[in-house]
Amino acid sequence: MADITSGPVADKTTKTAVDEFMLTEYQTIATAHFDLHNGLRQNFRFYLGLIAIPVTVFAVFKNPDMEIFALPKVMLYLFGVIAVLGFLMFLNMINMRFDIILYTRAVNGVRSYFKIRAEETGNAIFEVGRKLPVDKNRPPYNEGFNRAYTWIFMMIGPSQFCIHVRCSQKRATARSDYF
Amino acid sequence: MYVVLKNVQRLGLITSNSALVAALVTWVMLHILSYVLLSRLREQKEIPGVRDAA
Repeated sequence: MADITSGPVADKTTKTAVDEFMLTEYQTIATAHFDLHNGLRQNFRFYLGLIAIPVTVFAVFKNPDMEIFALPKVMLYLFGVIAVLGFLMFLNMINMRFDIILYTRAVNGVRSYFKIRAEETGNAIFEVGRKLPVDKNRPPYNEGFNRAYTWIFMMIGPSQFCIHVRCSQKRATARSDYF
Repeated sequence: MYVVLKNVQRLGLITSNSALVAALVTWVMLHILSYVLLSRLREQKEIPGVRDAA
C-alpha cells in the first residue's frame, strides 16, 4: 500500500489522508445509496399490498351485484383509511428518493475531488474514461412527474378517495331522504 | 367525511358530481403540492449557509 501523507505535500502524486478519506467515503455512500434503492423498492411493494386490501375484503362479501359507489360501511371506511395511508406512503417514498439524490450528489462531489486531483497530477485519462457527472448540485430534487411510481400514487390514491367520497355522499343522501 | 358531506349537502353548496370532482382535484393537488414543497425545502436545506445555521 502507498504511503499516506497527512500534511501539505510538494509531490502531488503522493496519496494524502484526504484521498484516503474520499475513497472510503465514496465506498460507504455508494453502499448506502444502493441500500436506499432496495428500501424504496420494498416500500413500493408494501404500497401495492396496501391498495389491494379493499379487493381482498370485497371478495369476503361474495356479492357480485355490489355497486362500486354503494359499498358496505366497512368498505367505505377502508377506502378512506387506505387513501390516507397511501398519501403517507407517498410522503415516505419521496423522502427516501430525496435521500437517494443526496447520496448521488455526495458521490458526485467525491468524483469532482478526484477530477481536480487528476488535473493536478496531469492525468488526462480520468476525463477520457469518466462518464458520470461531477456536479454536486445535480440531480435536482424536483425531478418532475416523469417517474412511474408518482403516477401510480396519483391515479390510485385519488381514485380510492373518490370512491370513499361518493359512497359517503350516497349514504348522506339516503339518510337525509329517510329523515 | 360523512358528517362533512351531509352538512355541505344540506346547505346546498355542492352537487354530487362537483363534490366528486372537488375530491379528486384536492387529492391530486395534495400529492403535487407536497412533492413540490418538500423538494424545494430539501434544495433550500442544501445551501451551505442555511445548512450551517440549522
